[in-house]
Amino acid sequence: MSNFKVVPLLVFFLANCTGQDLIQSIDWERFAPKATENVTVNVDGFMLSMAQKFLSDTNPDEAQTKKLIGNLKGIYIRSMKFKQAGDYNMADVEKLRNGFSGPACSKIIEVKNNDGKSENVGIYLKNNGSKIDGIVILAAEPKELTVVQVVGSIDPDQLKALGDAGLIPKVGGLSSKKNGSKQKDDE
Amino acid sequence: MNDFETQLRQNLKRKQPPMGFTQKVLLQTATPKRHLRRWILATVAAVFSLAGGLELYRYQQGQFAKQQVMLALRITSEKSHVAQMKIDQINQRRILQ
Repeated sequence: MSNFKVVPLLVFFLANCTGQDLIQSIDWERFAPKATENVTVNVDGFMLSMAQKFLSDTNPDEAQTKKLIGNLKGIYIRSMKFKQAGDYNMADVEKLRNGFSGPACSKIIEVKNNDGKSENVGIYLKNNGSKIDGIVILAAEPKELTVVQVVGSIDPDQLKALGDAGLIPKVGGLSSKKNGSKQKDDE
Repeated sequence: MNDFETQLRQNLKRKQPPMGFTQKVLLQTATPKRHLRRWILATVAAVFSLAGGLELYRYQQGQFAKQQVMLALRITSEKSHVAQMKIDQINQRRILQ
């Protein structure tokens, strides 16, 4: 793709990284032709508040979930499964990554493998000053591509709780750091 | 007095009402009240049905929302696990080096 086409895409992503739901701005049709399974989960603020009312305080799992989703405004997931490795273009994944690297986004972890056989993962935080406004998880496995976006104000304690609950990975105290930024490249 | 007058007098003579006439009249006059009562009952039933339906709808919506949240968290957890595994692999490799 020429730079002429890439630049508007990047501008589009950067604009989105500062506010709107990133995941909904991605052109998923690009990946759709060879996808065998397509999963979309959109849990907006209203659904979260509804779910909160129906989550039990006595069941430990549900009580923990209720606590975790307390300040969240939404959880948006798009996942696509493919029949065989290489059914989606890694260059498109790279564009997604670039979209998550705007001024308001911090790259926390990024594992890149260019062999096409291993997982490529990335964790990005959306910052708003000293606050964390959301987390984006990108998992590009050989036969599966998933982007998870958790939207909402997340404080360090909640970040730690998310890590403890296994919802975000723990990287040497990442869960307790507000603006920590670690990068790991495995190329 | 001619026959006509006699017949008229006979016809217009006070007659005793048939048995149960008073009850019939009273029943007829009470009918609108019964209708009103029916309407009230029907309205109350309709309101309760509507409230019940709304509550059921709200419950179903809540259960759906709960399921969606649990699904979203499960997928998030799975993908986070993939990232965690990658990080652990890198850490192990570094330790071995």
